[in-house]
Order: sequence, then C-alpha cells, then structure tokens
Amino acid sequence: MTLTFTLRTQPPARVPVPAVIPQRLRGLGPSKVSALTVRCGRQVLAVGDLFEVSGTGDDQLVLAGDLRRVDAIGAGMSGGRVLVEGPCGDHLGARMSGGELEVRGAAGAWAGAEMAGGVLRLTGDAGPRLGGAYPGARVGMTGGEIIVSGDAGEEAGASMRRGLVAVGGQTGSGAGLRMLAGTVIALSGIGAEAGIGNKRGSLVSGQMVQPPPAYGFATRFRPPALRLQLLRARELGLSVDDAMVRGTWARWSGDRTELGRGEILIYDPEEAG
Amino acid sequence: MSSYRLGATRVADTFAEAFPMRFSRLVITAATADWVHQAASSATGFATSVIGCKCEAAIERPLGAAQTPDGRPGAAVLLFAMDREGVGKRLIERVGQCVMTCPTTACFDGLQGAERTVPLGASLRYFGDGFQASKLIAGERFWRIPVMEGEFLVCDSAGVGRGVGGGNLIIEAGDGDTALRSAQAAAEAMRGEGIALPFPGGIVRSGSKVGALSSKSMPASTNHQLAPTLRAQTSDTLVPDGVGAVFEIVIDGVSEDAVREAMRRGLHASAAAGATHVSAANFGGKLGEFHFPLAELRDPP
Amino acid sequence: MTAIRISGGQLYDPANDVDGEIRDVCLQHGKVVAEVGPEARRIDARGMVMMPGAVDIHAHIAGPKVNAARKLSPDERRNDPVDRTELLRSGTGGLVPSTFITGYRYSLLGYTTVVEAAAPPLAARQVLSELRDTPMIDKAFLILMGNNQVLFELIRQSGGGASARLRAAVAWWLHATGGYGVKLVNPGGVEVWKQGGGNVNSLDDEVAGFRVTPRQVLEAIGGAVHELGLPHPVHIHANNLGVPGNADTTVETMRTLSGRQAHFAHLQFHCYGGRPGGLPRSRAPELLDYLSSHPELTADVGQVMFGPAVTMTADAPVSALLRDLGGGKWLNHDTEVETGCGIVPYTYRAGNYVHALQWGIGLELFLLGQNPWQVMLSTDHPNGGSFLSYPRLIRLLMDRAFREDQMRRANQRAIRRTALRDGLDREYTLNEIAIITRAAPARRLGLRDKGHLGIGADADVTIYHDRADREEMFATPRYVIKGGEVLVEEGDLRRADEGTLLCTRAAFDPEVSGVLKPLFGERYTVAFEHYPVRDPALREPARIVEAGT
Repeated sequence: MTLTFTLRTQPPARVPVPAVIPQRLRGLGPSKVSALTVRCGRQVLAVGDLFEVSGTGDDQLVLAGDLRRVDAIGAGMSGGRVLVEGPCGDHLGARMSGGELEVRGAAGAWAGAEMAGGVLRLTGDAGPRLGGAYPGARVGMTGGEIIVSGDAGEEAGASMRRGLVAVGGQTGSGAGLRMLAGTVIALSGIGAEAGIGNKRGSLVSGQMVQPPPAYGFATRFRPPALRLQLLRARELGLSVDDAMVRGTWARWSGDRTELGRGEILIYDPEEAG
Repeated sequence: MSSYRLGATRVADTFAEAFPMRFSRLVITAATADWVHQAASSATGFATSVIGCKCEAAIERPLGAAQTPDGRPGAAVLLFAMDREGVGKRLIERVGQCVMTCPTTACFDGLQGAERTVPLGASLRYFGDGFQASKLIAGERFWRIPVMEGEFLVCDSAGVGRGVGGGNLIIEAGDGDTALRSAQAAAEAMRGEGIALPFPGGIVRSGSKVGALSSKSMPASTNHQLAPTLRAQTSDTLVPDGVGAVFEIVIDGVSEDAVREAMRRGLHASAAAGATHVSAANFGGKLGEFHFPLAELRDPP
Repeated sequence: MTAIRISGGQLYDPANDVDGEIRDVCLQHGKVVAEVGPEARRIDARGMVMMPGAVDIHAHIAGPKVNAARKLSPDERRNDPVDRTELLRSGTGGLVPSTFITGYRYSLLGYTTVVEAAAPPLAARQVLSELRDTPMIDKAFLILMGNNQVLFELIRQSGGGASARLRAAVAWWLHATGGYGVKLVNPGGVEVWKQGGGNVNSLDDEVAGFRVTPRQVLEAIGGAVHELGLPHPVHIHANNLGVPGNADTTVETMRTLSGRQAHFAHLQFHCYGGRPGGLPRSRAPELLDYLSSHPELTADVGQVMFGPAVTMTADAPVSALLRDLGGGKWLNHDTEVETGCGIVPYTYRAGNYVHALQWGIGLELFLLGQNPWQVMLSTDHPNGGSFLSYPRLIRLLMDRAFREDQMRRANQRAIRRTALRDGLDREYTLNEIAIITRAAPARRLGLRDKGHLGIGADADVTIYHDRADREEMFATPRYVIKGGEVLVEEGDLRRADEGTLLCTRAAFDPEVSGVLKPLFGERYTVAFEHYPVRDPALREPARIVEAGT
C-alpha cells in the first residue's frame, strides 16, 4: 500500500517536511495526512495545501513533482520506503537511520547528512556536503549507504565515521574532508583537495587524481575490500565497470598531518594487465 | 540380524548413531580455483575425527565466481567441533595458518544470520600489529590485514550453527576393489550442501572400536570385528560370509535431515556400485541423540 | 495585577523559621502581604509544597563566553530547537540555551533570580544586552577583577593592601558597568597565562611585570569589597582549580580573607588532596571544618553531574588543561587588560576515576556540611552540568536509595576514597533544600526581599506537587509566581515577563577618574570616556541594592 504526495503548486518559500516519513504516517489516510502541518517560512501550512495526497500510508510513500523547494524529504526515516519522482531540495534523508530512500532526480545540499543507516539512492546529481556533517559536529555519517548515479558537490562524506558514499560521476572539491573512517567512492574522480584531515577513511577515485601533499604513495595492488564495496555499490544500482572490480589500484596513505591511517585508492588501469 | 534387500545388496536392520555438534561454514575465495583448493584442503586437513584432531572438517562444495561474495572462485568448507568455543579456536588456528598464509585468498562467513557467532577476524586482526583496518560492508564487518602480498580480507566473526556429527554407513563387498568402488560412489553421492565427509576422500578404512582388548589405557583400537583378516581368529566377527573388505563413511551435517538424506544417497549409490552389504555403526543407542535407522532409507533419493 | 491567595499548602520558608506548616500566602502588588480581599485569585495548594522562588547564586548565562560557547557547539543546540508560540520567542536549548530559552527554562524550574557569576567588565554592554533578553527571571552579574592590569597597578601602588583609591576604583567599575558584585577568578594566574608563563602555583607567586601576588590581590580587592559594604561579598574562584592538592591553596585563601566576608564559588573543584600531576583525593571534610568555624565564609558546591557539560571559565589556563584531556574543539581568549576566557565542551563519565571523585566530593560537601546556610546548591552551570540537572541533584540529596544506586554506577575506586561509602545516610529535608536553593543564596547576595516569604518580601513563589520522586517534583513545579504574576502553571509558561536587572550602588570619590584615565590610556584599546555603559536601554530599568546598608 502506498501513500502518494503530488505537489500542487510551488510553495511560496522553502518547506521542510520531516514529518513525511513512513514511521509517522503509518495507518493514516489521506485526509488525516493532509491535515498535518508544515512550516513554510513564517507560515504554517497544511500538507494538503501543498500536496494532493492519495492512497493509504503504510510502508511506502511516493512524492512527485518539482520538489526543489521541499527540504528534508525522508529526513530521520527509520524504515520503510520513500520514492521521490522529481528533483528535491536540501537535507534529503538527513539523519535517516533505516529504510530505503530513492530519488529519481537530483538533490540539493546535505543529502544524507549525518545519516546513520539505511540506503539513499539518487539517479541524478547531489549537492554539496552529501553524507556530510552539520556545522560544529565532529562526526557526520555514522552508517548506511548512499548511491549517487550523477555527480556530487563539495565535501562529500565530510567528517564521515562509517558508511559508504558511492558516486558514479565526480565529487566536487574536498571529498572526505576530516573523515574519521568509512568510504567515499567517485568512479569518475574525487576532485581536488580530497581527504584533507582524513584519519582512517578510504577515498576511492576511478580516475587519475593528484592526492594532497600530506599523502604518500604506497603501492599498486588489488584491494580485496574495495572489490567487495564496488560489488555492493553495483548491487545497489550503481553501474560499475568490471575492469575496476578486477583491477589494480594505487594506494596513497594519509593524511599524515592527522593519524595518517587513511587512504586514497586511485584506479590504475595500465597496471591491471 | 534381520535385513532388507536393495537389489543384490543386503541392508542390515540397524541404525547409525550420531551426536549434536557445533559447526561453522567459511567461504574461501582466491584468484584461481587452484589456490582455492590449496587453501581449502589445507584448512580442512588433519581434521578427520574430533577425538584425534579436535575438530572435523571438509570442503562442502566448490563455488563458482557468481556464488561468492567477492565474485572470485571459492569453496565452502564446514568445520565441526563439540562446542562453540572449540569451533572458535579451531577456526582461528586454521584460518590463521592455512588461509591467511595462502596467496590471494579472502575468507568470508558462510553462515550469516546465525544466532551465535565466534570471533574470527576480530582475533586474527592482531596479526596486523596495529596496522589492520576494518570496513563495514553491507552491514558486515571485515578486517583488512596487511600482508606481504597486499591485504588479507577476513570476516570479523563467523556464525555457529547446531549440526549433527557421526552419521555413518558401513559398506562391504566381496573384494577390496568392489568395496572401494562402492564406497567411492557413496561418498560422491553424499557430498553436497550441508555435508562434510571429514576422512580422506570421505572414506575410512580403519574403523575403530572404543577401548582395546589388549590394554586398559588405549581409548580406541581397530575394529577387529570388521577386520576380514581376523575372521578366522576371533569368535565375535561381524564380517558376513563372502565379504572381503569393509569401508566406513563418516558424515557430519548441518542438520539431522541433511545427514539422513546424505545417508540415503550413499546407501543407494553404493548398492548400485556393487556393495554386497551395507550396515551402520552405533553404540547401542544410548550415547547419541540422533538415530538413523537404515530401514528408513529404503526409498531412493 | 490581581491579588492572589495561595491557600492550604505546606510552607517552607527557612528564613522565617517556617518548616512545612500549612499556611496561606497572600500576594499583592508584587509583594507578600498579610491579607488580601475576597476578590483575590485563589490558588488551592492543598497537598502541595510552597517555597520562595529559587535563587541561583552562581551560573553562567550571559556575556561573551556564554555566547562563544553557543557558537562553538551549534551541533549540540541544533538537536534542541524551540519553536516560537503566540506568547514565547523561538530559540535553542541544549547545555547553553539561547537567552530567551535560558529564561524560560529557569522559570519552568521554579527559579526567579539568577546571578551571572563572571562577566568581563569590558563586555558589560553585551552582558547587559543578553540579560535584557533573558526573560522571566531577575538577574545580576558579577564583574571580573582578579586579573585586571589597572587594578594590579593600583595594588602595587598601595603596597599590596586595600586603599581608599582602590575602594573608589572598585566602586567606579561597578558604577561603569552595572555589575552587582565583584568576582576574582584565579587572581594573578590568568595574567601569568596570558603572558605565556603557565599559571601561578601559590598565593605568593609574583605576577611578572606587576610585582603583585595572588595574596595581595585577594587582600586588596577582598578588603575593598568588604569595606564598601557591597550587598554581595567578594566572590572567589580560587587559584589552582582542579589541581590535586589544591585544598592547601583554598584553605590559605580562606585564611588570607579571614575576618572579611567572602563567598567561595564551586568549592568542589577546590578541595582536592594528592600531589599535582597525580590522582586527586578528597579533602572536603577538612574544608568543611574550616568553614564551620568561619561563619563569615560561604560557598556553593559546583556539583558535577555525569553526562555532557560545557566548561566555560575566565580561568584560561585551566581550560588549556581540560582541552588536553579531551582533545576536542576549544576556545581560549585574551580579554585585553582584564581577564581571559576558555571554553571546552566536556563530558563527565561515571566510570572515570577523577569524574567520579568530583561527583563524590560534591556530595560530601552537601552531606557532611553541618550548616546548609553556608554550602549552597550549584553545578556552576554549565561547567558541572546544566541547571536542568538541579532536580536530579536535589534527588541525590534527598533520596539515599537513589544516591546509592547512582553510586554503584560510578568508579568504585573513586567512591571508596570518599565518605559516601561510610554509611552516609543523611537525606536533606525540604526545609534544607529551601535553604540551599533559596534562603541562603538570597541572603548571601544581600537580596533582602528574596529567598523568603515574610511580609514585604517579593511575591516570588514556587509551588510543587509533593511527590515521592523528588527529581520529578522539582523538575515540574505546579505554579511559578514571580512579582505576583503567575508565570508557570501546569508545567507551561503562561505569561511572558521581562524580569528585573539587579544592580548595586556604592559611593565613590569622582576624583578617581583622574587616577584611572591615564592608566586606561596606557593599556586599554577603549578610551576611558567610552568605557562606562551609558545606554539607558541597557541600564534601565533596574532595581538598585545600595551598598553599606
């Protein structure tokens, strides 16, 4: 059973909808859901003012429309499934701890920020701080998996402690900034200044990139854990070249100004043969 | 002793007696099927009987690249011991000495979702001398242990299940060649998911009895009642007329059902291959929790 | 403003020797009165407990360090947003709530007066601005004078003692800032730290460049405050805070001030045995002995509560030590000429020896002390824990079984080194709680209209359900009345109130300007003329408590 939210008109200002998650709507019909309120700037609006709601709430929600002004979709969800048909705003799936959030479109900033569990999938691009930490927090993502088929913005996986961010395209500058652990994969390249302040995290670049100066080259090898992670990303819907799964990667260790136990793995096809 | 016939084979109306054991399943992968075989045979070597080897282990089945977690050729191995602690200790010894040391291997838990686990990588990681790193992949923790070749990847813990150890068939024929051919056919038929045949090739030629006639200190000695060469020398021989050689197949399985069905396959395969008699070993039924009467195996698999 | 009759409750008014008697309390025109007319609103308090509004003698709620702590931990506040309502402003909570939320939450806890215990005088404008935005409670602030280079100069000139000139300077500073009292934080030590020299270790270490010692600062400023007759005596955060063996310094500080009135802040952090660099032990019993024979001295405890806290202090060298323990984010600030400041988010862990010992020492101070009028309740909010943990602290004092249960969760090696294990079965009575949270702090602050409910007192009343679970009881008062208005009812804020700023006034010779101006010119980045706060919106309205009365 599915509850469907179709955007009626563009909201006058940004609207966060953290209440629109399966665990809060379970068992509610369209009329009750429509009567729930959300804040839009200084105004308080009914969900029904913004969305046409149909179906019944169970474990699956569908949101449809141009949702670029709608923030915090799926934020805090702990289970169930949310499907978004269209582009959405900021804080998508922030702090989610379980369930599956799939967007057929792009997302704004802070998608999957401080996520603790579950799976977040984006067919389009993600904005800055994908799977990142909010200001002041020492720890960003603590678990879960983020799969982005397009590109990601700046500082993807910043301050991540655990989990997987896998991007089919490129990440902007500063991927894995101050990472504690966890893995950020960018199949088309991790961009500049990746892994600054990285303690023990893994950054993975499918394209040649120059690691920051505080990284040192170690070796070229076939990393068994990466193989597993790439297969996992593929299982979650990312298109991963077999050559990469089988291939040889250069390992750089760093950030030596921090703990220095992190790594940047760079795909090195010449050595693959 | 009463019996029934399966074609030309006489099947004794007796039962195999088996015991509860704990087991783990590991999936060992490597760059090639050959290295998989090297690692898996080494890891399951010297593991024929829990009395002499502290565990019983065998390759359960080879796995194709599509069946393994990392998409490389692999094998599933089963290891049985009397309790969970025993399983844990043996796994650490065997993975540490025989899998980690073997080129290109990785080691995975083949019993995910088990209620109880034992630490595996969680202990082996200390070999990494502080340079080891962990990764949580799809909810499962792995350890990356840096080694001379590169990295050894091993699961943090291994699931432990409740299995059955000591199921058996005794296969007899008029001459040694026929008996061995029958036993081989049985072992071949019995191997499969959930089954470990811990002896070399799955077959035991030196079945034992508890204790000894000649000594009070020997825990076990040759099963003289089934030794054809002693037939004229002993009054309690159990070697039937016309039987020239006897083999035993010991079966450990992940469940009572798995053992029973393996025995059924073995019984019918050995009969088809020329065994004149098939029997089973027990201790009078008082020691083992599980009984497998051969009478229940009459229907073909 | 309607008259109110609160009838049938048990009244705890220790200042007037009323210990749980069933009384009516009548309120009119913001004061407690003998009788009100039949038109008065009637609050049925049968089965309830009535106390004066609570008074926090030592907390950190306004000023640059509080604001810096807010900025330092946005992560901590983000998890506790407070939406605006028709009546109330929005804000954030957490350990260091925003100004409005600070006021709301203190009020919801039954507090009606709170003292900001350490404000740099240079930042008086910000302190006043924030206090004006801290509603519901009456408030005052103490100004920092223990590391002021201009005052050091005057002390050196006077040969290390109090002088008329120094008295005038102290009075001028209170006048210039709107401060209510004088605070000394690690006198001399912060200046040494700012010069890069570490800290002072004893009262007789000289502060380089000024030729003054902590002992001289204590005598001179403490003496001046005493002689000025300020409503609140000098408020001291002694040297060597947190250092094992600092009990010697604390006793020496008390001796130095003997005969003069003084209040010792967060005494728990100052009664450690052991050797510097080693593990601390408790010397609380010794400190309590000293206090009991010196009635001119009082203290608040500065209890630590297990869980998250934010240390914020003018004692910048201590902050540096704390930062090294945790390794997380921190902030250290040099407030030119006057003081320093350090902020370190911190977590007290029950399993940690030092933290458990600190917890145990705080409870020893409460439970072994014979005179509750001398040892008052505080957590040094938010240093030892948020003010929101006061109800839990009260339960620790009133409920032995609860205390022992909590003790069992704490580091046992530490607990064994306190008196808590020795069958310490004391349980505070409601009357004693009323003393340490109301009567004693109000009396010590010189607030004659507060902390009691005699005729003419401020109509600040808190009414609680009499519940067996004292934590629940003190966390959710049934009614909170301040200045005769019902602010809290049924656990909800029902009325917004600005609260009143409390200031003091001490006469001084205006000629002191002639002395101070050249010293300011040499040192401050701010011109002497621009230093005093003159903005009427910040200074008024205020209730003035005259010195020397």
